Amino acid sequence: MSKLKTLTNGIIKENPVLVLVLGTCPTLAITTSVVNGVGMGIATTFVLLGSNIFISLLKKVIPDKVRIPCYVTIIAGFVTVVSLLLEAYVPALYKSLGIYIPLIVVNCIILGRAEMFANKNSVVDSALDGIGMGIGFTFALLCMGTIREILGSGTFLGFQVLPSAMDPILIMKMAPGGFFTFGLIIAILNKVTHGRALKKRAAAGCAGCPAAAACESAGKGEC
Amino acid sequence: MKFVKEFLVPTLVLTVICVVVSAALVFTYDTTKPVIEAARQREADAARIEVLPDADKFSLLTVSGIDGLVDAYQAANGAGYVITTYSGGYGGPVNVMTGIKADGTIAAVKLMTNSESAGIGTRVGEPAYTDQYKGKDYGLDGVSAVSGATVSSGAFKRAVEAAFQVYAQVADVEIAEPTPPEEQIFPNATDFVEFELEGAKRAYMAAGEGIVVVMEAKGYSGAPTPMEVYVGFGTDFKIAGVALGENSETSGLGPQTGEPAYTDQYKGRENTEGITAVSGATESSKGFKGAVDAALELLPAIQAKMPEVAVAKYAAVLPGVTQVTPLENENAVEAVAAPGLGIVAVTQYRGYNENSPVQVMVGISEDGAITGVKIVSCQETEGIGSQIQGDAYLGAWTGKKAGENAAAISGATVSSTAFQRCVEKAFLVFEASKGA
Repeated sequence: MSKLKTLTNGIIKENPVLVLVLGTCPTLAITTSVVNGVGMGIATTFVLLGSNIFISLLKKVIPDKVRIPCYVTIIAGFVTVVSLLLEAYVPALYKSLGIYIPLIVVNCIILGRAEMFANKNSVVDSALDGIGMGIGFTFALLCMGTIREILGSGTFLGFQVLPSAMDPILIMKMAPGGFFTFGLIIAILNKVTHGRALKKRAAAGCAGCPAAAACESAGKGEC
Repeated sequence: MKFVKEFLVPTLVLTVICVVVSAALVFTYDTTKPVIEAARQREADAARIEVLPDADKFSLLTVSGIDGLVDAYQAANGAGYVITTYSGGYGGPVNVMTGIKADGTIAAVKLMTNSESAGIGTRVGEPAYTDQYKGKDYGLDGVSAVSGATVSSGAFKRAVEAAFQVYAQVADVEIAEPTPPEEQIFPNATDFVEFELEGAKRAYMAAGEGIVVVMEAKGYSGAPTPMEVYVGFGTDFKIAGVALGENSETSGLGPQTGEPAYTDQYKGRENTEGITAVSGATESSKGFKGAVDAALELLPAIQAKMPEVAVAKYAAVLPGVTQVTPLENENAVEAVAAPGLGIVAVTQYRGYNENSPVQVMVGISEDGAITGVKIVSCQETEGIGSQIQGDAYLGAWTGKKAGENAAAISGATVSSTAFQRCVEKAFLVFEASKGA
């Protein structure tokens, strides 16, 4: 796999939110505005990059038995560092992201990449994967945030874009609006890629499913 | 070696990772802590500067004993104070931040955390309401409630009033309470005893002076609440005075009906003929006049009640007293007998203050037990001897008989003793009245 491919992999083909459908909770919750979405994306990218590099560095040292606790410790450490830095230097963003910063710890994208990629690949590849996945996540949040902010508040990045005489569609800022947008973007992506992204997941089959071990119909290909 | 590989290495690796991550966290925490604190401080100061624009930095003040205080800050450059207080509103406490300038007037007020109904009660946070407070002093004259949000408005106003109490304490200034309407009518009366009077919202007997009835009147049609009009009748059954009570009339217009230029017209009259309305506040004036007319219709009931006015001041120490006969006794400044109930004696004795004796009103029932005591005059040392004016001390006297004493206040024995002597003298009056 070329380095470029590793980097771009996360942006469309294996976009963590839109194709892998990981990290849905922050995606739906904080994308009420573009700034929040991008801020969350950048914070997550930083954590993803840091944790991927460290886990890749330590992949030989960390015994298989305790790898998950080790990953969680490292990820949690990075998240806390990010949270402290945000609070110190970008307090406004820290305030609007609120509870979702500590929740980066349990964002499945990060643990997922650590488990699926960083502990099997070189440091450089892992870093590129982290950046790529981070960009993909940020891109997805940007799309969500743009649609929801324009329709829900009539603004983009805080500037009025829709005529102010038009009432904004408040529901777009609430949870249902998040689901509408999420479904819509996934549908568009599948249409544009002619379902390739989706098929790739199906081809991965039950082996790629995190619930494979506990699943009764494992191997039958019907979830 | 299986033990080492299976248990020791994983444990060690995990421990080392945890220690290293913790060290990294400690480092980040220490580096960012001053920045975070400075940012928080700036943010908190920015909120305070919003209500006190001339201020730069603030320092926290310690204030105690005031209900509803959240915190109080003093501006470092002497611009004034920023005081956050709360009062119960419709949905819970309403927190209000008040900026009080050095001259004792409000720079601005701001609605803080609250649980008022969105779009209704929260309108008290809008400039249309909060701007009314700008430049006002503790009297908060002419602040009118938000129509439809009177409970929230009331809570907001009470919170601002509490802020002024804090201000009085921290800035060490006296804040004169606004004169209550009934005292505007009878400035010499000290006791106002409330009683039931059919047709009136409330009624008070001003001991020795007259009767005040509180009427409700519809004022300006846009005002959210009716206006309260206080009408005082002297012992000659003429109008002794009128005053405007609580109201939400249009600021600067309707409340003029509470000013002497208007109210003085009513003094000494038996009817309301020829009263001139306040120009520009005809509806409020009409409502006011109507209330006085309604009060005049209650005159027969008021006349029936008037004999009690003279003895109303005794009711505080001898409940239920309606009729009295004077008693002559050398021990008392003043004494009366209430047939079937007991006696009331006002006695005095020199306390710590050589120039002004302690004067006490004592009520003693027929069977010789104290029904109540009240301080008539006490000029003892503030905070020490003056403690005999406290309710705890006075209340302890109820039920005591001749020769029994309430426990003296420690540190104020001279004043307490003076009080005891007064009570002893009252019992002498009581004995004399029995013998007579």
